[in-house]
Amino acid sequence: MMRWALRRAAVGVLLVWLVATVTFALVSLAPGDAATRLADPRISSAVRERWRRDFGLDRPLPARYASWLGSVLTGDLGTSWFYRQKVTDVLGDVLPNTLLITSLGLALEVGGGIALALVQLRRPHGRGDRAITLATLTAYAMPTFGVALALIALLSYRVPLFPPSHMHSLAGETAHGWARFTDLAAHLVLPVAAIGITGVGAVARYLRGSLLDERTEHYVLAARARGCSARRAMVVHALPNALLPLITMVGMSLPFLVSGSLIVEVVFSWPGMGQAMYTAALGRDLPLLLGGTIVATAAVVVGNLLADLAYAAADPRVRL
Amino acid sequence: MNSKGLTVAALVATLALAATLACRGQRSGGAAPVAARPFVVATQADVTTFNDCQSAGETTEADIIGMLFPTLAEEQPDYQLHPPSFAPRLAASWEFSPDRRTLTFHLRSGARWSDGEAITADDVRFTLAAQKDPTVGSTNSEIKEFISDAEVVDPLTVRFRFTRVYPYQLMDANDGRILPAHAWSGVPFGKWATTDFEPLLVTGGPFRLAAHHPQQTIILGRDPAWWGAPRPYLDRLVFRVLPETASQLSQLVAGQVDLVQQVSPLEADRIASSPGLKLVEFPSRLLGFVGWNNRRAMFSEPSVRRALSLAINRKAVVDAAYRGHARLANGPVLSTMWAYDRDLPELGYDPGLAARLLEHEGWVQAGDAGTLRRGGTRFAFDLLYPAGNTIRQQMAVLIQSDLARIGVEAHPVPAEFTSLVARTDSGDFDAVIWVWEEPTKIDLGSEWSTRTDGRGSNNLFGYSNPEVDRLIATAREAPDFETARPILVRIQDLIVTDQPVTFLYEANQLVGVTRKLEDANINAAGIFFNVDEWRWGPR
Repeated sequence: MMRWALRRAAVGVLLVWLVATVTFALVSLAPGDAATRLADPRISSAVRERWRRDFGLDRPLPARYASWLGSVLTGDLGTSWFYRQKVTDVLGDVLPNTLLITSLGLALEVGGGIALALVQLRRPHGRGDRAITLATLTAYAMPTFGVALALIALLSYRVPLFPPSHMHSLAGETAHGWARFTDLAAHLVLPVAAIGITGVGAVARYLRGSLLDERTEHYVLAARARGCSARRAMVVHALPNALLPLITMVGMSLPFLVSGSLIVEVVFSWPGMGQAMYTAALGRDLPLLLGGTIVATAAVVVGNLLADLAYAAADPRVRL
Repeated sequence: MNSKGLTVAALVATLALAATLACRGQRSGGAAPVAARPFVVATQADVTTFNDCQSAGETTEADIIGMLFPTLAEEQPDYQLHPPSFAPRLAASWEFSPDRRTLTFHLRSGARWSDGEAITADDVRFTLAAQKDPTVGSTNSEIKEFISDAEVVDPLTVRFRFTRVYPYQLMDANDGRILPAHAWSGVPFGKWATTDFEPLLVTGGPFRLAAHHPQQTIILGRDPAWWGAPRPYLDRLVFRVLPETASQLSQLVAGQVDLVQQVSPLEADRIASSPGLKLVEFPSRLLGFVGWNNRRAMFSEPSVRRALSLAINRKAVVDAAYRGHARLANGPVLSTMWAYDRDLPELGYDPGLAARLLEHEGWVQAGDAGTLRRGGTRFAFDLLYPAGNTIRQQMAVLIQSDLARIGVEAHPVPAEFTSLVARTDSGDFDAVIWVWEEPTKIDLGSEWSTRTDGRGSNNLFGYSNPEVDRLIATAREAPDFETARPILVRIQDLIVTDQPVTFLYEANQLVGVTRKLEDANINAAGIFFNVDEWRWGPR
């Protein structure tokens, strides 16, 4: 177990380094740099060169890479050229905001998917099952952008129930305690729903298929023969085994939890990782882009690790 | 409680929570009394700095900085008739010396920074030192080129010395915001480019920074100690970051936002017909054109570029893309500017003449392929435009169609904005649909002079005409506007003859704003030109 963990950790570190290095090379070689955004013609090329010197862009690529890698190894991700703040501070601001909507969105996706699959399995191939299948497939096929705009149009403007954007209302930004919490919760409803609705279909489809297979297995029939109710047999016996593929699916979702959904964050003006990385990419803010890449890649590694551990815990046949 | 009971209880609890949140959401939608309401402006992006010397000039950022920091004088939107005039602001008055080598500003007494310190001539001198310091990298550094120094005569009098006499001395001295010396002089100029000034913020404008929630909201609060009291009349001016333009307009229509700074021409009718809203339209200073890379053999001859301009139905292109919210551009100076040559010959739509001009230059149809050729070269090129800009995309397609009629192949290619700027700046392009925001200082040098190393230049197209260079230098050295005007007219004639670019449009700016706002003079000088006089109307 220890050898396995060490090997996975070493591979993870290698992967993070590799992805960050490729990102460094790609962004550095892309046309334009951080000084390019100084498009004002009044800015002389001497001033632009001064900016480049301040940010070290006048040095050769290998020297810049070595300098950046050296800093990262000492835990310093550098200073964002765009925000003029430590990259760790910028990420520290936006990461929790992203985790909030993505984790709730994922919970809705998984919870809603499980609930729908169980409802469908009450009468497989019945009218309810077919209706839910149609609805979930439709939701799965819809682009997140479209779902987000539809939710806003319906629940913010046609029936004004929930706010269409931002983390807080103007009053909520200065509120405290319960008032601030309910204000935040109201603003969470639509972005979380936009993330959850599009994913719930996939979970429901996976699980329905697995449960259909499991419900005819001998151990489920044996449970039924012992007098177990149909619902209990499904929830207590069949569901844990049917959930195994979902563990991998959720583990693979961890990068999304961290890197965020750009579309949802833009549509709902949510100040998260997706928006920060998009702005960094447009402005060629290399330190912030690389900092975000390292965090997202680390999330991939940790997500896979946790999925394997969960798989082993859920299925005793799996040995690490 | 059995499992069914638990399910019902959970459902009831969920519904109750949802109802609470929904009610909360409605309240946050803006049911507060009108008088107490903040004025909410939608903005696409957050500010990156509050220091004028660090700013890259993004419009909203410049507007916000403009409301937090004072200027010596305020440029007036009267540049149509004559060079812009100035009204007193922090400076109550000013006068030139008889030889016009020095300009003395008399500051108003009683002006104070937000921390209570007096705004003095020391702040003006400190600001000029920062703007001119090469390590700061201010956008104003070249503008201050001919100002040698600022002398503090007394706490309320400051004297600018010039190395030469020229028409824009007052405009150049006034350019930029006055910075607080007592608060910021502790940061060495060499560290300004990488310093976050928000924690050091001390302001001197009609508003103070009340709160800044990154990527969300910038709240400006009325400064009761401002020298213009009782103005401003608005208690709070809120900038809400809404990156998506569709969301901006939806929230404007729903009453959650009070002003949208840029309404697309496609949405103009919707906003104009919305009850409670009005559409304010005024000529912006945006000049749009197709820039031909003059360094490429294909576009190096003026007659070829002229043929391309003749082959494009410019009026139809502009009308289709802007739906009547832009005028046809005719030359390098905007038709709304005092120096515009009203006798400039207008280039019409004449594909027949265009074909003949190209044939004269050796571009002929070989076989039945349809595309013109000269030697072994086909007349085919990439026409770049910024990805995601639907107006310029539409223009690109219409231009492609027009040019195809005379056998010229244009391939519209969208490009990510930073890459597009980098490519045009390095000359790595054939043609591009580009736009400039013209300054009110009519200089023409940065755009049409032959590019020289070390100086800022917007001449991305490699245009070079020694006579134009000479005239631009002469106009710069003219002692006054009357002397400069005929030279500027001659430059316009030469550039229109050369057609280094095909001039397309002068766009109007469309601003969507609530009808509840009163006394707002939104004009070409800026949306927030008289923001200190804005007030809420009766409910």
